[in-house]
Amino acid sequence: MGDRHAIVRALKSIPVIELRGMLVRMVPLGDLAKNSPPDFLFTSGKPNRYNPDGIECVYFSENESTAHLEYAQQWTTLRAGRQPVVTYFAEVRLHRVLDLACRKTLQNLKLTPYDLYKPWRGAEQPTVSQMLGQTIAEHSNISAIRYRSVAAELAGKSGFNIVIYRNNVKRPNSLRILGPDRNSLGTWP
Amino acid sequence: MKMMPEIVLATRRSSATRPRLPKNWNVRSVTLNRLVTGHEFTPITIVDTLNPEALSDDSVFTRALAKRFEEGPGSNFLVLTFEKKERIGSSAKVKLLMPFAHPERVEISEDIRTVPQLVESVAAKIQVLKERQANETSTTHRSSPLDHLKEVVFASSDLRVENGNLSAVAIARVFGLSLNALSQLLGRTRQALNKTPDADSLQKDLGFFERIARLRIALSNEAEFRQWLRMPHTELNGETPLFWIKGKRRQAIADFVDDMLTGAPV
Repeated sequence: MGDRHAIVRALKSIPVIELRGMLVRMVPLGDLAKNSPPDFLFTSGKPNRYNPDGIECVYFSENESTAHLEYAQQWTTLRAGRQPVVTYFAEVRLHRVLDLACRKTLQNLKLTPYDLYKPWRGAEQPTVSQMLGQTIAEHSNISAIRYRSVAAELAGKSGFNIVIYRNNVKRPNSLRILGPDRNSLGTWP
Repeated sequence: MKMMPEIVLATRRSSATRPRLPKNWNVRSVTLNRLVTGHEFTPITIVDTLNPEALSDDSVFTRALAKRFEEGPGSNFLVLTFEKKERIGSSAKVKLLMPFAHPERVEISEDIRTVPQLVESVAAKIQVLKERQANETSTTHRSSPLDHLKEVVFASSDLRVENGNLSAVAIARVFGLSLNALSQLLGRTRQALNKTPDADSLQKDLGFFERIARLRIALSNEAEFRQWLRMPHTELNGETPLFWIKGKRRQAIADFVDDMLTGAPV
């Protein structure tokens, strides 16, 4: 997968899946989560595995066990990693999701699993996975990518994360952070 | 001049003359129709039509062109050129630029033979804009989902002095660094830091350290924060946060702390 044009061409005929259900994030309890939880739909555009700098998106895990592995990987070796954890749920309805766990999808995009696991933090040039995310965010009507969790892989388990691109979440797609009562903590669109 | 960026040259199917561009440039040719129906825009896109009137009068095409141009890369440029060489009056230029939301990124060529020179100038502009953007992002930390939480603001209040400025002395203490070591990280002299540790000129750089120190809100004590700074992490290719800070990758570590505190999967 060399350039953006090749990705755009491949995306035109790529199979997509629909995603309905709950996604999960875990944060340390502490004063932060107890009193005023962070805005989970705040997008600073900071880079992550599937977006370079400037692309507005949010990341969740597909289930609680994966969210816990993601959490544990970041807090490993710290005593604070054993503190109580708060779990947040996002209710999503996404009609066009690119599933990178599907081998055929990877073949269509001419990607290998190695491309997707390349270190991205602090990378001087956007990685292949970041370029893919940027192209999807800017040049497609696909609203999210489902991908294998590296934290789960490292733990010898299977788990998936989802990255959702803000500008591509248009009705009838939706994303809602569930609060303690019927009120949402945030919604897209 | 660095390498010429990717260029798309869009022409009519039946065009008699086209801009002659150097062979070593990365140029892809498409038809005008293909340009406005696909996702073809690159950092520099050249649109070659018969004459200014033909382009202005085809409102369906110009609207589509302007729309696609806006959807393209953020710092892209459009070069309009015409097969027939003629002087283009200012009112005709205004008419040509009117459909575009960012006319400052649209260049009009009056002579198809000078298109390569015009493209070189555009490429230089793109390079400057990119370098400026890179410098801005490296000197000012980006906003965070935690910026407005009073607990977070309170957690770093010990890094500030009475006037609200961040203090290099407090940051050096929390990070377990000598003032001399911090001054080296900031590219300042120890004397300057000693004299005015809360100088306004230091605030942008110290802002990264403040963002990183927010991790303390979820840690048991400051010793654990200093321990974390000096422990290798798989997320950092087996290197320590402090090593990355010293390597001027402070924004990446500030983002890492954000991800930890907000539970963002990676």
